[in-house]
Amino acid sequence: MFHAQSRPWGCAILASLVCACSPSPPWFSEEAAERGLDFLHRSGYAGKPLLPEIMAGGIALADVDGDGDLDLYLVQSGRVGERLPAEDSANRLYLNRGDGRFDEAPGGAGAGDRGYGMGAAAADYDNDGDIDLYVTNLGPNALLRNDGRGRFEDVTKRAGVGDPGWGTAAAFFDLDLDGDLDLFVVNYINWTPELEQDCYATAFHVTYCGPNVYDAPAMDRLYRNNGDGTFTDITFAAGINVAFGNGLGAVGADFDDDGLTDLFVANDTTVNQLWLNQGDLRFVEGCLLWGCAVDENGIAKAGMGVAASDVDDDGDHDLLVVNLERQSDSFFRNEGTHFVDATRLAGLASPSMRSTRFGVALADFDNDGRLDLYQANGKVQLSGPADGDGYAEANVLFRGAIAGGTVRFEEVVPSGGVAVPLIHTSRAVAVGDLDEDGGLDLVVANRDAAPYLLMNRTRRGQWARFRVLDQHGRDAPAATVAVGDRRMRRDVQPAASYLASSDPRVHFGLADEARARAVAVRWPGGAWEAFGDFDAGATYTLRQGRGTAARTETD
Amino acid sequence: MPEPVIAGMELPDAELREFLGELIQGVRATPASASMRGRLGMAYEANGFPDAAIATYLQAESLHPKDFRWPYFAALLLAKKGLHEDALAALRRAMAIDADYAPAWLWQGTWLLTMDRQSDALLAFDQAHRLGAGLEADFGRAAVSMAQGKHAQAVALLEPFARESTHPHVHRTLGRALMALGRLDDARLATARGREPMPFGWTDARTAQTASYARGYASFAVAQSLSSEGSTDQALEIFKRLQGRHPEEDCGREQNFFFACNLLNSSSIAHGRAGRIRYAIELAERGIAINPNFMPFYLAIADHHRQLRDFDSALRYIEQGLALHPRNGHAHAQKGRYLFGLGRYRQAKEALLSALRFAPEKPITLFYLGFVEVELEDWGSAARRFQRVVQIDPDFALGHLYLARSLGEGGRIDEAGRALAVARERGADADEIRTTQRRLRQLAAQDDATLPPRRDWADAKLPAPAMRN
Repeated sequence: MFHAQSRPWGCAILASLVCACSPSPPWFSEEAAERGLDFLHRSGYAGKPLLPEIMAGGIALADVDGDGDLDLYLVQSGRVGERLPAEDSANRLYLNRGDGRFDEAPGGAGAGDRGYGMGAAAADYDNDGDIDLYVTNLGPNALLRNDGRGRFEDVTKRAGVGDPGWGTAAAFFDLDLDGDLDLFVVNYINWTPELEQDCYATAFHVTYCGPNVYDAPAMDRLYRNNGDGTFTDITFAAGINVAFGNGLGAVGADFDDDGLTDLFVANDTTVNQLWLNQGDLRFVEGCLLWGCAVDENGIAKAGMGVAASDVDDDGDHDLLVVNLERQSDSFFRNEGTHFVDATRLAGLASPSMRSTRFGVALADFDNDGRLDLYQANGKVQLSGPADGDGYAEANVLFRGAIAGGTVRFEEVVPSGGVAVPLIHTSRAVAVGDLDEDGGLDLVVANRDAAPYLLMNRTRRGQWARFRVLDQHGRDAPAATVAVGDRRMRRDVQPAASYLASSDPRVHFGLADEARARAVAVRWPGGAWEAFGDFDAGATYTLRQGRGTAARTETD
Repeated sequence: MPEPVIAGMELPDAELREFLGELIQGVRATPASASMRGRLGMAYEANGFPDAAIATYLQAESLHPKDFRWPYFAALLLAKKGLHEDALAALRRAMAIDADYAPAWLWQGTWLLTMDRQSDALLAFDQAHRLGAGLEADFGRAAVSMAQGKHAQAVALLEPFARESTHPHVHRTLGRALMALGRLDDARLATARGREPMPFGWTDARTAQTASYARGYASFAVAQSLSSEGSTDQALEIFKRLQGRHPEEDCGREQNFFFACNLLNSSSIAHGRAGRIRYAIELAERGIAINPNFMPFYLAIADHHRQLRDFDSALRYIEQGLALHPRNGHAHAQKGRYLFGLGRYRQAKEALLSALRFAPEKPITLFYLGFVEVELEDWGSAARRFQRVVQIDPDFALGHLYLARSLGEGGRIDEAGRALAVARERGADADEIRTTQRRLRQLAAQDDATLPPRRDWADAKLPAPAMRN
């Protein structure tokens, strides 16, 4: 499209689009095919752009068969408004042999939901000791109950969670501290094929519309777990109905440090929401007051994926929201009572503007004790005619560093931390150690393509990992594990990123420390429990009530 | 002489292709003309080819290094791409030509701040201030103070500004500074006034000419902006030009794409805004006859009928639109207003509640709902509704006024008096204040027998539906 016969200055400027950092050895190698993944995502694009086609591609990483390793659930889309054969529309479950190689579950294990799939959440909603799956769709979502042997049954109707909207993010948390997991579901827009518009990129290239063209933001849903396998929609009673936007990403954490799990929703070109949990399943929207509704220039950016973690090791949860091309990331640093938009301080203002980011992961890939940042990219609008996938972009990896209390992210080259940049239209990103070698691997969903299975090849530091189980023996989302007298804190946080569910186990890079010292857990509700020291290089289970009650910070 | 940068030549948009082709030919014919290159650069910029535009501006600059525009325009595009170092370098070259253009200093301050060079940013905003960019420069200085953690200083700069400005970002930024200082109540009030996600900006007259180089779809977007700003004749001129290539008969003919429908509908809206409502209706009716599945026609035509106060017709069309898309919150809200206009209050309430189910809470929707409840004499519900209205938008004077009235009718006279005081503070109409005061005094007198009929005051002027959103 762009033939520049002569542009002596333009060349230098356009060359500076590429990071000037020195190349580092690859952090990851892409091994999807050789490790047994034969999944090919299908958006269903058939000549006329329909918005869901450019948004889809979800993943869940969870140990669904209870054998101690991470299995992989890939969400298929299909075709909008049509029911394609199962091979083109059913979600697929791949079981881990234990070494990061996969076999498809026999007969699909009943997990092959055939809705136009978006994302997935994984958790033990019925406290029976196995991992269940919740699938968000364009159309009714699906709850798939695990029978304990790794086979799934669709219990959506009985459970009452088949929201018919356009579901995107979903997350399970014990929001009312009653011992079971409630369900929060984010909806994007009230969309039907009949409402589709024609939108144009430069020069009459028909492309996908932005969400505001439809002016139809959809309400998110909150379901209370009734404890008997059913849920009640309490969206209105909880106050979640009072504000909503074009929702895509969601993450839960105790942002205001009151012991209750709050919810953050990243909206696409509408203001974000921060639902502050008031107890008794009542929520107050606090994003404007906390300074995370828009960026520091007053722009409601195109929020896609989201991550929350204590990035600067100061004991509270910071937020990172990724956005559209030409809009920087938003790194909201938690100051205890409000956020400060610290994107430029983190070094993300300029480099993040080059791509359209969806999936996002804050994780310590090189085990140096600092969170790194991986972003999965892919445009939503064509900038011109293209051979092949005109939406494809390379993914990006940033190495995390901290100096003088300030977090900085430095871009790793080659792009995405692989030897040769991989270029597809990427969407969901899930994180977990697939081959149990102590390095966090990545799974990336790609539109109309195979996923990436990015195996960690860094020269890594020491590590320790914790499975955090509550008194019912299930993973405890939003529990916080602290290491080194609470210097480093990481959450049990399967639901984050974009359309993804990651390993619920909590991973710490320890650099050259031989032990994870003074490990403690802050359980939902706010109580701390101390578990002592642990040798590096292994995964441990921390069960609620088996440690020693610890002093809270305010004692 | 460098060859012109070529972009867009293989695209299917014939109008744009021809336009760019002519400009490229012009550059080839007069290769030493910086002005021709600049025009080509502006055409690339206006039509969405930023890389080609940057390269072409830089060519123009090399041919005429004394023309401020070319490095300035290149700088703005480079900054949009996140290349702030390069943008600042180009801006410095522009400012070496003309150092007295205040917006350039504002941009410089903004980009320096993005790069965390706070002291330099402050110098730039100070210079912008000296050159007459008063409020904008003060806002920049406040942003620097915020970045430096000097929140009290930011508040000192922003508070006088916020008294004069209704811009939501000013109030929101003030709210953030107040929050950082722990002044929670003040912060709540400020952020409530800053709900709209509108970026803060300033007029940059020298960039205005670029838009006139838009062709094809880019010019459609320009025309839509012109139409919503009230420049309907200019907008209609562009729509008409585009309809030369995309006639209304094509609306729906090509199954996949609706550009011809959009043009026709946008023309109808522009004529309506220009006061030619009958013709606007005729256009939208033509659209429906050609493509009855295109929902925007129904929304437009219903609104035209509303302007004529023909609520029956407005209702009929909005219901047809809702049949196509039953989860459209905006359409439900409109339906509620039309039913209210027809005095069908219970149905209006249902429609407005549907709007709240499918679209986020907007004060105007809640206000109408409250008004419906006033008509239904459901004072408790009405009061709760107006309370929510003023919670979301503390400056909604009519919300406070009707809160006062609803509280009073519900027997909560003291609270009503307080709400009325706030309504006065927020600038509610003096006559309405007096009427309400009178009514509250009557209610306080506790003599039901002597009370005049409620309609004496309840039949008040409604805000125009477009007044607030």
